[in-house]
Amino acid sequence: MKLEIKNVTKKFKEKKAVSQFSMVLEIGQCVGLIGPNGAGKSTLIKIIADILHTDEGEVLLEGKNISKMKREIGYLPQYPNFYEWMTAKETLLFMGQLSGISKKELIKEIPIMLAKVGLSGEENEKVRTFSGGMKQRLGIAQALLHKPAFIVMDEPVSALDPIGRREVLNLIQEIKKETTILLSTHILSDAEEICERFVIIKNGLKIEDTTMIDLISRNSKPVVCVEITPNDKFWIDIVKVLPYVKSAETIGNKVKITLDDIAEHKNKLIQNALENNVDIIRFEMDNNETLEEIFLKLVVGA
Amino acid sequence: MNSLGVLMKKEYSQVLRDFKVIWLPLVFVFLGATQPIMTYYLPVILEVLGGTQGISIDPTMIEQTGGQVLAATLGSQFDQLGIMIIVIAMMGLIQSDKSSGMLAFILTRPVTVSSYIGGKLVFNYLLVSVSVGIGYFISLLYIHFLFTSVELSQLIGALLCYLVWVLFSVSFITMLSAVLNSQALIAIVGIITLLICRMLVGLHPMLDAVNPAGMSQHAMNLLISGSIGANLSINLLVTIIWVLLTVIITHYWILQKKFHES
Amino acid sequence: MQLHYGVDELKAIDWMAILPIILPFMAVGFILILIALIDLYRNRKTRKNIFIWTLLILLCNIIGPVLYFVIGRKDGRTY
Repeated sequence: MKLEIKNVTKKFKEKKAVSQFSMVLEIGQCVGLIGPNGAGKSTLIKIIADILHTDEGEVLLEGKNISKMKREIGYLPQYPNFYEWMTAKETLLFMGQLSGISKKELIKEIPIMLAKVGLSGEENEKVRTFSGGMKQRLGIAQALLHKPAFIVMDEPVSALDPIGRREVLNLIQEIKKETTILLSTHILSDAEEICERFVIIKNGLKIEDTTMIDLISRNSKPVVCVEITPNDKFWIDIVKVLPYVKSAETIGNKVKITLDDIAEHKNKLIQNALENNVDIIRFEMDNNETLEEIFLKLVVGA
Repeated sequence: MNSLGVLMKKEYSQVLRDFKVIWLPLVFVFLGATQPIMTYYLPVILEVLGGTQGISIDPTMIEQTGGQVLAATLGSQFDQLGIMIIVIAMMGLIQSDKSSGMLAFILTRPVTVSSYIGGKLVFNYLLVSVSVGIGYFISLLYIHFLFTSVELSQLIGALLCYLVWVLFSVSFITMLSAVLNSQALIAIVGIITLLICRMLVGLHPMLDAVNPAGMSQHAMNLLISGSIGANLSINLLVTIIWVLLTVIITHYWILQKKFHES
Repeated sequence: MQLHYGVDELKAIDWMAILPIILPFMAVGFILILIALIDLYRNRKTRKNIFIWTLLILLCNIIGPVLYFVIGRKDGRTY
């Protein structure tokens, strides 16, 4: 089963929120839709969840229009606003029945689902008493309840405090083993933590579509960073003349060493340091930019 | 259970929680009792207030028939304060779901717009009808004691006619609730439109035939004169068309997702 | 003078006859007010403008309690 987004364009009063956006999502992926505020992430998510109509283009799930495949989609809004007077259990019963699951089955499923999202014991509490993180977890339970092929989440952690954020991130880590997830966020470290693939959107346009592995290999530089004690500064001069070292640069107690081939020479370098009795405090590969650096380069620089 | 059933059950629990299921019938009981009591004791009250200032009391006041008083219950109580109360009770029907995001959320599930509107309309119309019915019955009870009794067939016929007008009121407010975003605006537009409809009755026969409030007039005529008005069938047909029109507009508005754009 | 005398007499006689008719009528209004006030009291911590609502419920017959049920029962939201 795959989700195809084809040339989707959405205008709000002449202003294009999303323009000519296309992507294909395969089953089992966890994709992060990232972009600055106002980039069109939420609009796109709402189009995929069939809350908004497209002006042009279409969203297909398994070749069928998304409107006919609602059963296969689980949706988590940015601020899941349930009926506050319902209890957690009633909410799941209500949403589950609307998804077409029988009451009998739900009675069986709901305790399992609540346990999964860490809300056991809260089933008879009113939603109005829930914290933001709890509401979000209830939202995830609701999205998972009918076992959809896809889960679409709009900024699942952005509005939460650090504790709530951690709870929800861990939960997403857990559920991504079983389902395909598309989530939007503007917090890059979150996306980095849970997604394997990133789609960067800016002004409604897709400007990058890449995977974590891709990013690492594409931006890798043969540089290692060694932190040594001040007494061992002499080693820098030795390093500089090694045949496989291109250059060495000192920054405080750190030495940035550029090698010919990182895979081949990094162990030799350590060996050399040990032979010279150098006291290594830290040894790290300084070869990949973080997602944040790439993001900033793409979004601000471009 | 299908989604219509689920949505109706949700409406039911919400109405319970809002106490609407208690206060709406109580209000109509109050309104229903007001008219016969006022009519019966008005001469006494007037005399006490006016003392010997020479207010002459129309002796026919007390000699009104039960049918006349019941008609006055519909015309002076239900059609004024009653309609206002219905508007206020129903104004948030769809608007509150819109503003909380629940409408969009519910529609991400495999639920048709028809069952969403159906659930709202059917359940709330039932609630209003039962409330109006209870109020009507209480009014009748008082009339039975204080005035003459009313013939059963007229009684039921008039109530049925009146409930058609109530149906229009409910579907009209539901439409406003879907289209407009502010509760105050819904209330004002709803109350003014419905009261104007009611006031226009009797100006011209042509106008009466296409005016949904004409159904209320037919109900009153039936109670007062005991006979069915001439245009009843046309009026009934037109009112049902009005109701369908409001439902179609509500449906179209939600289906086209217009509610997101303001 | 005759009329004035008559009214006084009517008043004196009729109160007992009026009461069973008027009492249930008054009771309905009273129940509405009571439910509204009880609800307001039980949720006094989360409601706003409690004093204004109390006045409205007590002074505006029927409309006061109804308005309270429809718009006065929303809690002060925190988001």
